[in-house]
Amino acid sequence: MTIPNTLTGPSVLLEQTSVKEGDQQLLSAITTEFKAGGWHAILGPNGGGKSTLLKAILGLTPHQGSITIQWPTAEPNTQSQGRLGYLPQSMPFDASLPISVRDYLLMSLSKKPIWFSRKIPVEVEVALNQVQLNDKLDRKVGDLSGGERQRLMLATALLQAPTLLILDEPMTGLDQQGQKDVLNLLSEFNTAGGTILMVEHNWQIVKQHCDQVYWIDKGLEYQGTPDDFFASKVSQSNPLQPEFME
Amino acid sequence: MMTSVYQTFKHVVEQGWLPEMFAYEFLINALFASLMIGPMLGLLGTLVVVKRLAFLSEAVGHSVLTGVSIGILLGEPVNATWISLFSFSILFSLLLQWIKGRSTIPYDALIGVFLSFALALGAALLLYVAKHVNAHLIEQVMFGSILVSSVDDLILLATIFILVSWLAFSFGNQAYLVAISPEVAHSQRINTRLHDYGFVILIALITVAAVKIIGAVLVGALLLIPAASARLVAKDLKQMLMLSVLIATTSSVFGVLIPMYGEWPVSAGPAITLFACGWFIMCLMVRQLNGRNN
Repeated sequence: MTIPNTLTGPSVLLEQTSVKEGDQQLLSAITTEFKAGGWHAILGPNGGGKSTLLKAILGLTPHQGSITIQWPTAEPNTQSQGRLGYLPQSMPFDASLPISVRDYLLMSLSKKPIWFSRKIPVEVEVALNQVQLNDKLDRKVGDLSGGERQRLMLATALLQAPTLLILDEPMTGLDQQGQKDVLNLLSEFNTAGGTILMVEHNWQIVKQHCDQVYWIDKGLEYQGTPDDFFASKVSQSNPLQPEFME
Repeated sequence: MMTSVYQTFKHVVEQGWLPEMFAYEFLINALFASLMIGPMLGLLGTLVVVKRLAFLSEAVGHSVLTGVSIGILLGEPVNATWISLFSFSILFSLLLQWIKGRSTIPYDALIGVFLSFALALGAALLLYVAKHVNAHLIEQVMFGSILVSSVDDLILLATIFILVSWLAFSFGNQAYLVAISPEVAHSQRINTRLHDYGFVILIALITVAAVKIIGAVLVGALLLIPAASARLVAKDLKQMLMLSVLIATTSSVFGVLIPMYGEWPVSAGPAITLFACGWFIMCLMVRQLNGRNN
């Protein structure tokens, strides 16, 4: 995938952002900033509101308070200005539908109706090659393995030429090599200046790659660098840590 | 223009190349109507199946009963209650979508409530107006007829056909992405809410346009069965779409022509639906055979 050498990722500002569903408070007021060009890890227990936070930032969940994505204004290369790529937690549709990899890519990336133009653009072929899906173009998405689906969704997100990536557990279902390939792509994107917000359970990955950690448990419980976080009480009191550190 | 089409068909019948029934103008009108209804229902049906909204088309179909009754009560021509039909069905669909966006009621339950309401109100009003109109009208509204398509109806259908084709070519890919993954579509800055409203309005437009031929009770079936059949055997979205259009169009055409040719006392709606069901059974068998061979 050709990721530009320089990207100007946006910052994301949360001011008193909270999410309620009926009487239930899913997230209490959060005020923080996800800095531009950073690789931000969102951690927390299951049901703590990590995915809810991502959905609120994406505008998919109603929220109170304000969320501002500060897209850089004087961007010389306006091609990718204000674009974001999103990778949902699970495959977003019924696996039994007859939707091929080609269909999914074309409906995301092409304006020509899928029943007319079936040709995949060269840059998309290159991207598929990088995520080892080039020989699976006509395979049903539902027949792909979990890791292959994840790579397809990530490739599609990156092909939007984003400057902000919002990823909900991107390593789910990936084997070691798959994780390595995906992390290489994400590192390239982040090094170029793109901003990444990522829900991730694998603390090794967080330690090695991320700039900031946000511990979400019905609200923002902790924010700091990975090293500070793993030395903190929040991290040490979390019973899940040893399992994930292996 | 239609006069020359009728003349051409009459000439072909006189030459003995087509059965005598093609000399009737109403049949030619119904044939042209079915050639436009089929592709539209087949196309939109794929979105209905992908979005799992089979009952939405049923509910909108039943709202037609109310629309017709209101039209008659308001003094519109009995065979062309278009203003009331379109107004009521579109309002009905928009209200359904609006409530969906503002409540936590599961969508299938909401559609169920609307479906029952549309059927109950339509039946009550239709029985009331039945006292004032020919009883055959009730049968036509419920189950469709090939006798009642006029040139004006064809012009209306052609207008909707052009609109649907333009939307399909311009926004088809986006519509499928919204249908399978609204969250990803939203992240790509596609206005998913506009797509959802547009979708229900299109369902209402096509349902109303098709109701004269297929009838209010069964029009939903032709939005569902062709796409559901195609889904069984298609390998990708293009195949599903093409097959769905083929099934809907052939079912519409055969449903109009075969009962007339065989002089069967069957309304167009049930005949069209039965042909579509025949396709469904065939697709089911093909899938079973493929499953065994694999």
